[in-house]
Parts: sequence; C-alpha cells; structure tokens
Amino acid sequence: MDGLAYGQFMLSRPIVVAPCLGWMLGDVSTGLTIGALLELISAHYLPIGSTVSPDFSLAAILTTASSLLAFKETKPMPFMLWALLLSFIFALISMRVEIYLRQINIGLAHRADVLVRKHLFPEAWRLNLLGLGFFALRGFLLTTLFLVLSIALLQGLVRFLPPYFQPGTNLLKLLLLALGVAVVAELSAERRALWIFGISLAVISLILWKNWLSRPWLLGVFFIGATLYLFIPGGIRFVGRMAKKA
Amino acid sequence: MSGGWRKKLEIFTLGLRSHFLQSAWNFERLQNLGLIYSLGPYLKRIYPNNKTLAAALQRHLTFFSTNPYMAPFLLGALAKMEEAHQKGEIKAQEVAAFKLGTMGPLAALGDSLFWGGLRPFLGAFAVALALTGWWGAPLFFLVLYNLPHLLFRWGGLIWGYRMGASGVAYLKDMDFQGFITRLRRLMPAAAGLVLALVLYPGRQSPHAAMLIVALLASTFAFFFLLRRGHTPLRIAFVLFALGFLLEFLKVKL
Repeated sequence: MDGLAYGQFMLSRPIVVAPCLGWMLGDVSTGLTIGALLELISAHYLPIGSTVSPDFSLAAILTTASSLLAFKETKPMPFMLWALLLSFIFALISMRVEIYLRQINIGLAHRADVLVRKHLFPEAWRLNLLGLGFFALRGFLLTTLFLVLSIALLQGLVRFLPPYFQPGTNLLKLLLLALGVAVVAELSAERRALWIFGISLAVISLILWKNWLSRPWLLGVFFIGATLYLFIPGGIRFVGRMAKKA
Repeated sequence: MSGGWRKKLEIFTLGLRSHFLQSAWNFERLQNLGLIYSLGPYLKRIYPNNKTLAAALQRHLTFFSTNPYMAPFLLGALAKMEEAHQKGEIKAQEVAAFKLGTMGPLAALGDSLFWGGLRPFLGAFAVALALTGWWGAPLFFLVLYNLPHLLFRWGGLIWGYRMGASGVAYLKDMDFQGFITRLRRLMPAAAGLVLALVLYPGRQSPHAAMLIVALLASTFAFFFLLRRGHTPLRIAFVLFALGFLLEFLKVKL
C-alpha cells in the first residue's frame, strides 16, 4: 500500500522490508542480502505517470519469507535463489492485478461524478477510501497466496528435481548484484556516467585494496563528500541571487 | 500562516488527507479522486451553498496528475485560490487553468528529484551499508529519504497556501535543476562504491582475480544492455537460465 495507495514513505522498499522480515524470522543477514539485491534491480522501475512496475515489495517479502521458512534446518542460500526466481514471476503477476485494479477504479471516478451531481459530497470523496481498500485487499490476498505457493514449490523443487538442476549459487548472486549496480549507474542518464562509475570504482577499490580506510570510515567520507557536493554549489548560487535582489 | 487555530487545523487536515492522493488511482483521470478527498472538506467550509460546492468539486474531478510529494504545494495554492474565487476576486477558469498549468511542471520536478534522484541514490548507499553488514541500513535510508519528503510535503503545503498562485515563481529561484544534475552525477559514483564493496568483501577467495574480471566485464555488459532498452528483469531471467546451464555442466562434466 505504501508504494502507491498511501503515504509513499518508502516502507515498502526491498531494502527496508527484507531486513525487517529477516529480523522477525531470525536471519537479518539473509534479509539484508535479499533487500540489497532487489533494491538495486528495482531502481530501474520508476513510478512516473501511468507506468505500473513489477511489485518488488512483494518479491522482497516472498523471497525472504519463503527461503527462511521452507527449510528451517539448512542454510537458505540455494533456496534463496529459487525463491528469488519464483518471486520475480509472482511480482509480474501482481503487476497485472494492479493494472486491473486501476481499471476498476475508473468506475469509482464515474460514481463520484454522479454523487457530486446529487449533492452527496462526503459519499463522493469517500470513494477514494474504497480504492484504498481494494489495494489493501490485493496486497493481503496476493501475499498470502503467493507465500503459500512459494513455500510449497520450494519444498517440491528441492525434493523432486535432480541435483544438477539448480540455479547456481554464489556466482549468480554476484552477477545479480552486478546487474543492480549497472541499473543504478545507467539510471542517471548522465553522459559521462561510465567515466564517473569507473573513476569511483577505481579509487574506492584502491582504498579497500591498500586498506587506507576502514569500511565505516570510507562510507562516512563518501557520504559527507556527496552531501557537500550536493549542497554547497547550490547554496552559494542561492545566496548570490538573494544578495543581488537585496 | 495567519488565521486562528481553526484555519490552521483545516490546513493541517488538508495535509493529512493529501497522503491518500493516490488511493483510488485510475487510468482515466489518475489522481482526481484523491484530489477531491483532500480538498473536499475544505471546500465544504468555503462554499456553504450546495450548488457552488458541487461546481467546485466538479472543477476538481477532472484529470489530475502530479508527484505526490509536490501535490500539497498545489493543494495549498488551490485552497487559497478557491477562497479568492468564493469572494469574487478571481474566476473559476483561473483556478482550473492554474491547476492544469502547474501540475505537469511540479510532476516533472518531483519525479526527477525523488523517483529518479534521491530514491536510487539513497537506496544504493543503503545497499553499500547493508553490504558491510550494518543492520541500521534500512533505518538510515528511511530517515534520510523522509526528511526531504516531509519538508516538501508540509513546507510546500504551508508555502502554497501562503503564496497562492504566485508561489510558483519562487520555485524558479531555487536551484532544483542544478541539484538534480549533481544528484544524477552521484548515482554512478554510488554504483562504483557498491561494486567495490562487492569485489573486496574483506574475505580471501581462491578465485578472486578471475571473479573480479568476470564481475567487471558483466557490469559493463549489463550497462550497455540497459542503455539499449532491455529491462533488468529480462536480463535477470537470462542470468537464471545461464545459472542452470552452468550448474548442469559443472555436475555432468
């Protein structure tokens, strides 16, 4: 719901949902890995205009919950990748359901026209909450149904498929992370994106290889540098413009 | 903001209701139901006569689409303009024309700043934090994203109500485009940070050099595939298929 129907506080983003769910199920690091993977890949899909994206919040919930719940006694990595594949498919199905719901809401808009003409004003604007109810129901029903399906499919796949029919483990996970990195780099639509990416990668790799800074310090320096770069040029220009006006 | 506590409460309620702008999003008129849900009670107070209230609501039941974080600015300005229209100071067409002329540019600004800028950049940085194993990464992302979000929402609402239609001119004085350009330049830098943390996880690996070369080559290949219009999910499905093939070959050969 947070993704469209209410608030947009980003509570439904994979980087938030997956670690929180992982914490509730007793494995935060798996939740962080899944959240990181899906957050990067989902960055490509922007909710602009009438675009409907695959439901990556649902994918994060399904991947985390099914890979941690399907087999409690073993490590979740191979199952995580199977769960991820299944969740991509369910995310696309959820996207189709959302498109259908948005078409149903056209009826609500027409009903609002009629109610306003009849001077039934609170009834007209409260139709907005009916739309909220539809999205909430969709979220609840699809999450429950797909979670049960995911767990059943995961247990069935592991039991009945031959051992050579697996999606691969560490390499695939790293390739998916690389895909996510490429998504963020490409998303900027900046002409020199590849140059900026390459220089940043080279400098930070050198720092990590030579161990000049620990990881927390590296991230802190990067963040402070980014903040200064974002605000100082604009701040100077703004002050200059205000001084000219005065 | 002038006016007593009652006026302040009404504006506050307008802001709270604006969170439901997209609750009944539809393909025909997009956010129109959310708009009348937000503005309706305020208009009911301004227009005690049912005929004029119906005319005002019908004015706002037309096509409406803007960025949800920039919408409160527009809502505040519309509330102010509707008050002026009720007093006979401006015509209804001016209110409609202002709404139609402002929602598009505000959508472009909000979409570039938040969907295409802050969200992916902070998301990538939170991923970098997650890769170092810090459990606070989700909270970091939420706090840093929602601070500007709420500033635009509530600050925009108060600003829009105070300034009315003339508030738009002040937006031009703020260097949003420059900020967005700088944010766009930081996104590939954040991507480089994430990949560096993936390549140097701090653990020794027997195939480290080969893996680094493979990952670097893959990242650049994915970059060019994305630039050519392929979606990440399509590429991911191909990667899964390759993963199956490699596992099969690894076991069988």
